[in-house]
Amino acid sequence: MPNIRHEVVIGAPAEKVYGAITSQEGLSAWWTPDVKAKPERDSVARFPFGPDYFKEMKITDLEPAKLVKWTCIHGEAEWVGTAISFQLLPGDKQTLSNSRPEAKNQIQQQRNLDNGTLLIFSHDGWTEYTPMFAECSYTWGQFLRSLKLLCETGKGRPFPQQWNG
Amino acid sequence: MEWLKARRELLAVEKELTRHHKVHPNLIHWNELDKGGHFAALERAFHTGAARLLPQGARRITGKWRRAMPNIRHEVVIGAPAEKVYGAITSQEGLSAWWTPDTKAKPERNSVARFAFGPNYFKEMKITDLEPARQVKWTCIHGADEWVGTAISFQLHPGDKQALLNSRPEATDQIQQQRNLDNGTLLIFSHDNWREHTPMFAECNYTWGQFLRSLKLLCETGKGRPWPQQHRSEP
Repeated sequence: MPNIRHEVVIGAPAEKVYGAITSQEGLSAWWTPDVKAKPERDSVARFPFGPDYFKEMKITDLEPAKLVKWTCIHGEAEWVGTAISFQLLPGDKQTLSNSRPEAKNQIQQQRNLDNGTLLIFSHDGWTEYTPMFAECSYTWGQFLRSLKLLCETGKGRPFPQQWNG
Repeated sequence: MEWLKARRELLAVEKELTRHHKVHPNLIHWNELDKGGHFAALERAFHTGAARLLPQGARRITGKWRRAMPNIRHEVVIGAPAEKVYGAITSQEGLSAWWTPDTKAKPERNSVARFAFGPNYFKEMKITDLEPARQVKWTCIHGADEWVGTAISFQLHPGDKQALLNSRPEATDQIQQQRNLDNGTLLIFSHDNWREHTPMFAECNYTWGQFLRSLKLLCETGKGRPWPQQHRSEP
């Protein structure tokens, strides 16, 4: 089944990344401005992209500094019913190099990795390899870069800056 | 012969599935194949070429299986003409400037391009298709185990803002945000036929996204972010 997966090394503690993917302020600073969200299981978060379109995610799981899971309940037809998750693995350069050999290059290039995080992102349950799947795979990658920049420098590249910022 | 064995094996799978589900194999969901542990037989049939010679039912099963295989896909809007993007993905100079500086490549079908990442690792790609300003296809013949045998392709769709908005609705936001799109390109990138959704699949999906951003920057500004700069935030 078509699944979007990303692995991103972030030079910031898992607690900080967790804050950025659960708080309204954090989500607004890397995904899209004007998010309505609270870090509460079973609540619904609303993400507007411009005045005419929004997505809604039901927050299905929250484990502080470890895991966040959403199910998309409103948005593009292809998104509805898909599941999104963020898994956070904390570590320093040495422990992450040992436990995640596939990310060796990213880990080695990362500055300030004394207390860092490997983020495993999944957006699963797509029905087919559609053009939208491809577009969203690329765009998630750019948003995750925005999340990384936010956690490392304090400044993300939220919509609509994610591609060219 | 290997393919003959694979063909026989797949026909047996088809028969078993039909009996078990009491429906035509065309109607069986790929998920059921997974549960039945039939992927290995399908994979052998596909890799030996036996799948091509199968009756329709079994061929549909293989098709379902192929569609269920993990594939990396990206769509990127680039504010530069398709000819320029084509140059950047076929010439040694172009590939060196957005993927890895230590590239040996020539734009010639059936030639092998070599991409080194540091002194201890390289990938080799056989160039299997080249259509100027339209398409490039590679098959990985050397590199990390999980990469060998996978297929990479770059498809280029030229157009201005309006033409691309009409033909590619999924990229509406990207197209609208793009500056200088009078003569631009929508790039469809595929890296297909991964065996599983492994950690390396996930890492490579993210990293391809950053390299494609580097390709976009190269085509638009003359300066890419090749290895090992692709994850750096500053130029």
